[in-house]
Amino acid sequence: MGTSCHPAARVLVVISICCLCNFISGSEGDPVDSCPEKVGTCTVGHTGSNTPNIVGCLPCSYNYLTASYFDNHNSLLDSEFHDFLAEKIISNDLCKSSVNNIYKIRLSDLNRYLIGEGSHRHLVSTMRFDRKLDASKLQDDYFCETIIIERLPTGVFADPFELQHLVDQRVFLAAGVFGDTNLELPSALSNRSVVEIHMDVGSNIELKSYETVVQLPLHARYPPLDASGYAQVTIGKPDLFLRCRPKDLQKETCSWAVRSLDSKANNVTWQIPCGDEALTHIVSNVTFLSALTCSLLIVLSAVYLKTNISHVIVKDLNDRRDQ
Amino acid sequence: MFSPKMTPFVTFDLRRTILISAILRLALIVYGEWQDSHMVVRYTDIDYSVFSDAADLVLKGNSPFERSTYRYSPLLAFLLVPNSLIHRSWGKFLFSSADLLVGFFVDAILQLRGVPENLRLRSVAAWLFNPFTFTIGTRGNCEPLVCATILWIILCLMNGKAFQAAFWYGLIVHFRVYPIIYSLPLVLVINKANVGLSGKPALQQWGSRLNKLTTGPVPKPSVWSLLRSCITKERILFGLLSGSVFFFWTSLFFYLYGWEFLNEALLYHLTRTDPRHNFSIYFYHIYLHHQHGFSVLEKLISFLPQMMVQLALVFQFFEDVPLCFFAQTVAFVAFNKVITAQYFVWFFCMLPLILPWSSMKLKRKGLLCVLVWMGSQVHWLTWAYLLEFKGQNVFLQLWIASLVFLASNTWVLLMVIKHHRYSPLFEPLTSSPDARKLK
Repeated sequence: MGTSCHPAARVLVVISICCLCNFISGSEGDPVDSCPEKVGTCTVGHTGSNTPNIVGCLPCSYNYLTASYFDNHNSLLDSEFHDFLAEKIISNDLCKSSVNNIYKIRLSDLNRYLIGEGSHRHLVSTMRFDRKLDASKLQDDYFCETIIIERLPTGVFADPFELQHLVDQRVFLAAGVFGDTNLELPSALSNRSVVEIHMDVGSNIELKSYETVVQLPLHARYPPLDASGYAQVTIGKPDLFLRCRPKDLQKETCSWAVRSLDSKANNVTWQIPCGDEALTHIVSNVTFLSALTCSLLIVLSAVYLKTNISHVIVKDLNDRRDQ
Repeated sequence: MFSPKMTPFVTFDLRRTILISAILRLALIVYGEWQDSHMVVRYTDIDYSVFSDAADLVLKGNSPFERSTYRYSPLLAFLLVPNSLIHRSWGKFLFSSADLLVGFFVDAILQLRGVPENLRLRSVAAWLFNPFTFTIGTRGNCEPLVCATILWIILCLMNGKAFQAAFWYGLIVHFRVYPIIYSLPLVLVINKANVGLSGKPALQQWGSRLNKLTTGPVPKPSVWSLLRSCITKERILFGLLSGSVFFFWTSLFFYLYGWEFLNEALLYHLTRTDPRHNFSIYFYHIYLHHQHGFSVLEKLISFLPQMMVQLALVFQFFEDVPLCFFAQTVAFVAFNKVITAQYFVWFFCMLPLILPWSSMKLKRKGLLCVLVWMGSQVHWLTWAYLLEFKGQNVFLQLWIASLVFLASNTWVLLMVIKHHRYSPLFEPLTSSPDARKLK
């Protein structure tokens, strides 16, 4: 079977660092990002809700923020998910020194769109970060990651093994899929899943602004039947976090300072072809009729040809006896 | 190896064929490694990483079923433990070796049946240089292991080692489930004369004038005598031994890995239905019903054609074991509820065993059969491409393409049967006076 032949670059996450000529000097003093506008809801799918403003610490032993959500929850509800994150990332003194530093990087823009066609596409998130002037110290002393959490609707899924392959190729620092990771079931029989991707924030200390592009490979499930012929699956805005820890880490006291990043983001909609319920009877009847016809043809031919062979043999034997 | 009577020239030719095939496979394995590390689209089959992960798990003393989508016997994971210890390509070498072994076995079977050297080599080449088959093993698909075992079972039977055949048969059904379809012809073909107590059974030879003969002119046994003749000591022993081997391995792994093993490695394959598009005519029917489920009647109706065809083919052709296995496998795949391209290997390995008995001219009807079969596949793939990679709603066209593919499978199967010189594997147990007179 063919493939969509996406060029290699489509899957790779390109971290391009570029200077901005119109760097906003006013942003230096901003402690946190401004609150984004409400994201509108769409007809089908989960448009998601805004990430609450979360700042706190997380022990280094927790690799993924979302890994344990499904231990206590059967389904993914945005409000419960955000409560879970808020409870998980707690304020304490363990990461006090780091917390002040994580404000030195801010998200100024988030742009989202899908590339590719068909059932296997890439969700591209372009994040533009601004860095404070004294952020170079942050780079020297701290190790920082951007975390992007996608709360996927039932209509699409990410393949954990494919993501692991990208981690192996060092495209992502880490990537995990949680929730319903069954790759075969249609939407109607599936639950939502969460994808958590960790990215390096970039190491070029000279630049004050840079872009990070994440290309997440996604796959469409077979949607529920619909006469319109296409189902609309909407993927809402992701939850974004920045986390930093000192490079000289001590295991006992190692703790990440974590901060949510908020920004305006557009929803993306994926149009997926679906079956037409009106065809159910005709498809079933013709399917069974075809199977029955072909099987009868084989049965009759097997019987006829074997009988024919037997007749040939008898004739053959008689001919030879007569000779 | 299996052909002590071959002339040195022919031995060289077979060896050269195998050698070229081995080099080709080695080159593909090396190329696959390169593609995997340099390109986004991997050469290696996705299932190979599943096997490898499962092998790594058993090495650590865990269950191979901790790796999701591992749906094979744990034996496979154990076979691939060297993937973690020696090199990750170990499995590909193992599968490709089995692939080459199939070439040897084809030659050995045909030689025992008295097929001339040039025809044997052509048949071996039909397997070894089939682009479909040499990519299967090198991409890390385990099917060549199954093919080699099935051919080995036929060889055992031909050498009068029915109990050894029973052992391998029990094992391979445990390993891959689908060879269960061969149980009936295997049991039927076994009789006193070929169980091996009295040496090697008499095999009908390729050049034999009467190789169309079965057991004399128009044998019409009554149902009762057929039933009575079915239940013989040899058949019961074959069934018991192969059943014991099957249950031994299944029980052992059930004891070790519990219901997860039974559900994933066995029951999954028996109950598998897939609403996503595949070559099967049933895919759209399954998709259109997936939100409501299926009635018992619907399940029965979809099982009926498969059942009818299997029984008819077995009872008509069981004496010509290779033809019977080939026809059964083609029909089994064609009427299955799920068909993926790897299933085609199941009958590709039987094809070289029947080619020497076919009167079909390769340049005419043979080519037409290949073109029809490939054409219907390309037609299906075109619609599948538009659906999967272009996002166009072509479910209806794709389903019609599946129907066309079934029709082409049926037509090709009928052509193969029609042009096949029916030749029972063994000489009849009781030849008619006419037949004896003619010898």
